[in-house]
Amino acid sequence: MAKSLWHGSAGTGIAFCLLLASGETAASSYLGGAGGAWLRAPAGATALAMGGAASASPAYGSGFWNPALPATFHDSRVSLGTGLRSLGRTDGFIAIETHRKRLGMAGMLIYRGDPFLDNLRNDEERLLANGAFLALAAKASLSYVVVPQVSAGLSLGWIYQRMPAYFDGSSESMSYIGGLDLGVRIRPAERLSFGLVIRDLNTVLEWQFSSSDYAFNSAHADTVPVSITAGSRMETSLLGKPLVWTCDLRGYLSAVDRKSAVLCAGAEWRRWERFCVRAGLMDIDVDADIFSAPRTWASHLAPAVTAGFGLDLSQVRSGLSLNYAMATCRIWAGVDQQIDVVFAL
Amino acid sequence: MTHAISAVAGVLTWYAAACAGAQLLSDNLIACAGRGDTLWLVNSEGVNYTVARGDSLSWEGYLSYDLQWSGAVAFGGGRTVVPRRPRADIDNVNDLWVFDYRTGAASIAAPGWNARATKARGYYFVVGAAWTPSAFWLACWNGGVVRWDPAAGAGRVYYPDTATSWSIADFPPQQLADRNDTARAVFGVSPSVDSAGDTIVYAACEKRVRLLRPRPGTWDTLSNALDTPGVVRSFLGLYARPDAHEPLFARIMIAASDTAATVDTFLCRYDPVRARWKALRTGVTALTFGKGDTLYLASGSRVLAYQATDSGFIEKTALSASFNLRSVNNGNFGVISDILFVPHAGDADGNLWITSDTGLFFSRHELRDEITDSNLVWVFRSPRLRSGLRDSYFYPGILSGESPHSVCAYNLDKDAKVNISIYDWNLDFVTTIIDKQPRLAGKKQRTGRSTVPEKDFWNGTNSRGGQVAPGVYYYKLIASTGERAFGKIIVAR
Repeated sequence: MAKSLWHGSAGTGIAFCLLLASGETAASSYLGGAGGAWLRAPAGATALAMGGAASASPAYGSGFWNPALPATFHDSRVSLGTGLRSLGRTDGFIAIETHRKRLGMAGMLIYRGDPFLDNLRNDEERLLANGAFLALAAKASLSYVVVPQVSAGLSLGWIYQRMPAYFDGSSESMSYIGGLDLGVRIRPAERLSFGLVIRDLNTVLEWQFSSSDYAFNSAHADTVPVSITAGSRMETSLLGKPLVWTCDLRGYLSAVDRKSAVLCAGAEWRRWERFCVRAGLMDIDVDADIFSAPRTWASHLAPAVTAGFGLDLSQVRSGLSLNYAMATCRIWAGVDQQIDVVFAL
Repeated sequence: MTHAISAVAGVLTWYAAACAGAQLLSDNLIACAGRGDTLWLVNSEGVNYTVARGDSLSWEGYLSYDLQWSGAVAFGGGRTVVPRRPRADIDNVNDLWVFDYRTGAASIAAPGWNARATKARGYYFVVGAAWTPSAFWLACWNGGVVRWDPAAGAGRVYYPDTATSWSIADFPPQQLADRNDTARAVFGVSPSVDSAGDTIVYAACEKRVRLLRPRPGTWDTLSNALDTPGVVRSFLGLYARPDAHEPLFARIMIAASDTAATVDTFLCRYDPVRARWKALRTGVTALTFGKGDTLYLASGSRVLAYQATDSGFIEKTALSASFNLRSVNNGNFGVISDILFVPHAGDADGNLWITSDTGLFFSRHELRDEITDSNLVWVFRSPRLRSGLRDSYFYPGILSGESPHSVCAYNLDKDAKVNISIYDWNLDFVTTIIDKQPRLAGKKQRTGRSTVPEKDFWNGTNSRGGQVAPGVYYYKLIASTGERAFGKIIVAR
């Protein structure tokens, strides 16, 4: 039964993939340069270790992954984590999820940035003062269990960004309220879950850049690409120990100029009672180039290999767990690392 | 033998400083000289050169470090010569730094004074230099004027008010041993030609200007009478047209009397008919001759254009705001140290080069009768990059509406095919700037870089030509030799 369900899950993903590929889709290379790039990176060490596939049933951080989830949790959770990525990129988050009867609520604050902008030059090649890129996203989610197998939710977002914009070292910032995420979680069987999430609806990043020369003042309204993610999660076993498979297929419907999609997949094996290992593949380009221009597709194919572990620290404090993940950099500039702690209350 | 040891020691010093990674800046420029397509500049740390063309906005030469400036530079015959400061306080002679532009070889040469003979007779420092076809003319403190042929490495001394010349190795001769006067102290030289087309050399001594006619080897002394009240305290600089013996200008320190404590420096023009110096204006720090009857003066942070007429000078245009182009130190504009007009070959125009304490400027489209602020362009000096991609960056690092192109600066250790790609914060591929393009090692390039600025740049677009969103972007530069580098760019527009 489980095997057939897994096949069904995979089949759904492939069908979704082909649906995107049949249209005006292209490699995720066409996604690069679109607004809100930092929003596309996975949040949380558990999700990162599993290849960034967590939309069907994230262990925590549902405000980012699927706003329909909090209502299905059996407890309240507080989680926080931090990460250091290649090229000096950093991230962090704090999330809280709780529920009351069939209603769930979640809040999450995500930080992404690069505090090490330390070799910037002006047009005379003179070294500029060190700068930092700062991006914050807050999401407030509300979810509801419609029927025992189906829950739905939405989240509203607030985004803030700040970055150096001028040679004199001063920065420009922007903030936006109104990004909307919609999510559904379907659980047709005890060991199988599906999630469908639409992220970043109507999310606009508006910048105002001024200049010493008025002619060069500019306003930039940049729409974050809306993404539709179909996710699946299946629980099975390996060598008699619990094994969880997850798979996310994420399509971007309003990328810079063409649509694109990426596939993420991962697994978690609970070989030990209080310790589990995780691994995955993240950001595999999925698009029509697979068939029409396989060499082009292959040249831009740069998935990340992810791995990590989870450690149950209930013996230290009830409900406490630790998660760690690392991932290869897609351009081989180092590794990404993330560590989280989760308190189940 | 002494010369050889000196040259080797000098080259080794220069090489050691170069290897140490010292950086010459484009600030605090003191003097410039040029002819043809090369402009030479001296600052407090060394000498640099750049190509004197209007389309070259970056310095191209990185030559000498720890040159121990002595304040003058001369260029001609494919060589540049810069007098060095004495290597030790006890030295009474100094060396010359010589660079052969055609071979790219730098060396240290000695004018050739007989050290033993000159030791007891004061200092024989070279303090000024100028070029005439086939030879440099060196102004020597206590040594008169020396005609120095760099190819032969030989010098000939012309001693003021003396009808004979000597090989520099034989100087001082016995008949001058007991002579004690101020005439031999020459502070500057300015070659020109007489009405017959023969070379003449004006020499600025402390109290008078002398005129050397090398062919017969005779000296004339110009009057130091002034058309204004006062006395000449000292001549500071001479400015003669290289192609005509008229007019002759000088910067002269003038005092009210021989005992007056205060002095003013005037730019004066010599009137050969009345045998007097006519004071024109104060505050002039440099002068250069334009085409025709145009004359450019530097005064503070201003460049003034004059037109010479029979009755005097007509001021054309003042460039008081010209240094707004590069305002540094909270709005303190540069003070001009030297100016040089380099004519274009075959037409009436040329470029006016301006050196100051804030850098090098030139007028992009100099017109004979017009200078405007917008014509002035600052010529920046590209920093030296370490080889092997240990230094790389995009400049400017912030793409904006004012700076829509960003050039990748890098220096390969070996020739290689290079790929430069751009990624966004999530490391999603944005575009490829160059793909497996051959690039030369920086050490093979005059700029010391492998960069091809016309191709190795990013204009903030993705692979399909669309404008990318504002944010932080990352580049990956990878060479076929295995060298690679990463860095960051900000798009803010």
